[in-house]
Amino acid sequence: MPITYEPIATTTVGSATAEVTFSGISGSYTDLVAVITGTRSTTGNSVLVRINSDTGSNYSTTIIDGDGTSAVSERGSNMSSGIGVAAWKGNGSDQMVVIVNIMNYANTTTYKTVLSRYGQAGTGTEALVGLWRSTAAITSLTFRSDNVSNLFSVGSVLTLYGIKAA
Amino acid sequence: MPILGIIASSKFGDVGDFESIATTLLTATASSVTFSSIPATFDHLQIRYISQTNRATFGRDVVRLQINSFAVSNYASHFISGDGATASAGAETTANNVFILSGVAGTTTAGADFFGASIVDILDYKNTNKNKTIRTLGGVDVNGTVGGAGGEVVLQSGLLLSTNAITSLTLQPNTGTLFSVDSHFALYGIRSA
Repeated sequence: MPITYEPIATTTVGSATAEVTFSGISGSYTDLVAVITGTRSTTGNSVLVRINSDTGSNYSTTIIDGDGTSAVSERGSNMSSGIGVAAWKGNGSDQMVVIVNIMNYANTTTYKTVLSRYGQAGTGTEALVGLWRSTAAITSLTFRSDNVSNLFSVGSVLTLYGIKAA
Repeated sequence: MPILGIIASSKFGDVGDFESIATTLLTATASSVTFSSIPATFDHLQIRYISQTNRATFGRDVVRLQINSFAVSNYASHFISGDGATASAGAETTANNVFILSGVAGTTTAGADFFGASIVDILDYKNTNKNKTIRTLGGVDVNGTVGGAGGEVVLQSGLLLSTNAITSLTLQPNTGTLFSVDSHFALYGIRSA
């Protein structure tokens, strides 16, 4: 019996780490969903996703966020650090929840679009859309920051799911 | 039945909490995409799609959703959005609302490979005692601006003023007239215990 929505891999951070990578992702799903829960080692660090280890300036992100007082929108273009999935409102001590949808990741005819929702009760909430300007199929995802050596604190959990269309 | 120019597939009857109901991959441009004869065997529905339209001038377009072929007066929508420079909020009433706001598309004007993406949740879709509520997360990023406008990330809510069970869903571009080849639409059913 086919399973439509299934876990692919889970990483529980045992010691603070700068990045977590899911590699060897098969092309057998339609979309990928990454769920991140945990804390960051210091305040103010965004979480990015780098795709297929691409270090070129091929990423961009558009964001709307609210902190309980106001809403703002920002964008980053020609980024080399990755797509933003949890951006500017980091607080090192509070739990964050990030849900990242990597849409139609295995097709080889379109650029790839990533939709994310991020929330941290003590700071705010965000919705983000990101673009990776490549038509290559996605086979690896690295969740990281570009400015800290230990982004994810001990106990943070990152799980990757696959969704398979008929 | 598959529509000419569309690779379509469907399967009913697999038991699971989150099931694929039907998928449409456009192999020719299309003015709309419809999922019909949706079974009442789930609790919620979710549409996940990437899409592109032929809208001129700008790099983004809106996608709208029609339910059961209901008339104009049955719909309302609210949204918050960001285009990379400005955060906005608004509403559409029945006066100017043809379909419910349900996501964002890329455009051929931005480039052949720029597609938007959206996830649409249709909650309690078969319940005949309440009006229906829909929510959408959508976005398109164009790596800057196209025609002076950026991409867009949106959170939308929609209301269908009907207690009828939902049996069909039609998506269509708002400003553009056609979805592009390689636009991909997948309908899922979510079942509770």
